[in-house]
Amino acid sequence: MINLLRHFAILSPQRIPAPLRMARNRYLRHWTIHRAWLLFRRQQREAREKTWMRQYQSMNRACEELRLTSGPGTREEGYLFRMAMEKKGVYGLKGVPIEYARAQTETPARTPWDHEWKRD
Amino acid sequence: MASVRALSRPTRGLPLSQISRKTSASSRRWASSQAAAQVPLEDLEDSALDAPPLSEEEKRTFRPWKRQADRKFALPSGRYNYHAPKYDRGPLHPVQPLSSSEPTARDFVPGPFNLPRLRQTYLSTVASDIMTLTYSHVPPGTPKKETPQRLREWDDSSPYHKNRSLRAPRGAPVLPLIERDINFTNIPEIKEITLAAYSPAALQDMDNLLVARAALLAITGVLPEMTKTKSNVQQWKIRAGEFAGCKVTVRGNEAYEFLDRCVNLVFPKIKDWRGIKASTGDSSGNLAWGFTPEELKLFPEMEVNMGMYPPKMVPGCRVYVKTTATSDRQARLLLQSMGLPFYGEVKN
Repeated sequence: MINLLRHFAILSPQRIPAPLRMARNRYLRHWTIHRAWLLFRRQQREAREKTWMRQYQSMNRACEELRLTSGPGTREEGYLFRMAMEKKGVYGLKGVPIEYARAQTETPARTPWDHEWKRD
Repeated sequence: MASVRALSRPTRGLPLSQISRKTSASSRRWASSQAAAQVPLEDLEDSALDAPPLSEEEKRTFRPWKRQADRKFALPSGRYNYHAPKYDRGPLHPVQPLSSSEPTARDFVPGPFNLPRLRQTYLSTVASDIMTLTYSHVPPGTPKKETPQRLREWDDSSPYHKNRSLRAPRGAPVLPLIERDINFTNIPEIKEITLAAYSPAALQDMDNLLVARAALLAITGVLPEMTKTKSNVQQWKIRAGEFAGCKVTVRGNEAYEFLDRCVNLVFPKIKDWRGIKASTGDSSGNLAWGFTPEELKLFPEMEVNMGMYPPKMVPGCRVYVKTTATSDRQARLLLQSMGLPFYGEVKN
């Protein structure tokens, strides 16, 4: 309890340190880097959104093409489109395999998933 | 140039030929000058100490103390003496607090210093996969779907019904969201995660509340705020308006880190854990689950310092994951792709 009390005494609003004080050059340096960081983030975000937009639009175009084609064989027009739009099990509890949900790392394991693993 | 800078100060004023002759004549090796010669880096800024040497005439006339004494007025200080205001006095006050991105602001937090791997995975892979999985094609020229009116209208049986606002639906104080199709502008993502612990034992012994706060603080890294009981129940010995719990909300990178820790460190350690109940959710894309006290102790931040918490006082906590998804099934899809398995009956 005494440990905990000390723990929170350090975090109390009375103990919050004074704000940073920066002279002109140091402030300008920080400001420049901050603006550059914001610009960088904005560029990354816009590139990401552009990619998603292109993917969406090409899906749209492909589906429109499918909708207007007939076949294979003697199938009527739009058969492939209806098959493509079937969303069987997408929202089900087995919709996403657990192997998919691995966070990306810089040093991935050599065997991505140990399927033989059994609980003792 | 680096080698010149490495020389001692008095020799710097000499012409270069003299220096080179002197250094070549002496066979002494200087460790610091050698290191400087190896490092190809220049200083980022020009040093103020590199001024040209003064002539004898200039040295005689250079008397700053005299100028200071003769000056009639004080110069402004060379430092920037602005202090961020301590209190936010409202939007109409002339003194306004700084934006939190300003380094001199009181609530300035440096960072971010890392990109959480779950966020990196989401941005690079999961987001576009969800968009592709749930894509449903709307042929051009399809009429737009009408949003149903879910608020109750007044039958004009009384003249006073005119211009009355519509009534809320029966039985539900809030309207759940209507599901929207996912496109590239509204791919569901995690907005924030709220942890809430309720320890009614704190009404008898305030130490319980202290432990609950310390536990949530350790797990999330954010100081929790205390919550009060809402109602009087005699059997449970609770009175309204007394502190009996705490809650904390993490957003952005911290939320992704917390989820990553849950998925990879805590859930695998829970015995006979089947997953999260699929019936969770408020049908507007916010899912929740709970940790018992024993499960809360599995967090690595708690494990390393288990001695700090009295064992019987550690509370359980509820975890609310708020997403930008507009329905529970979309939110479930998002969390499944981040590694949370669901089991049981699906409600909506």
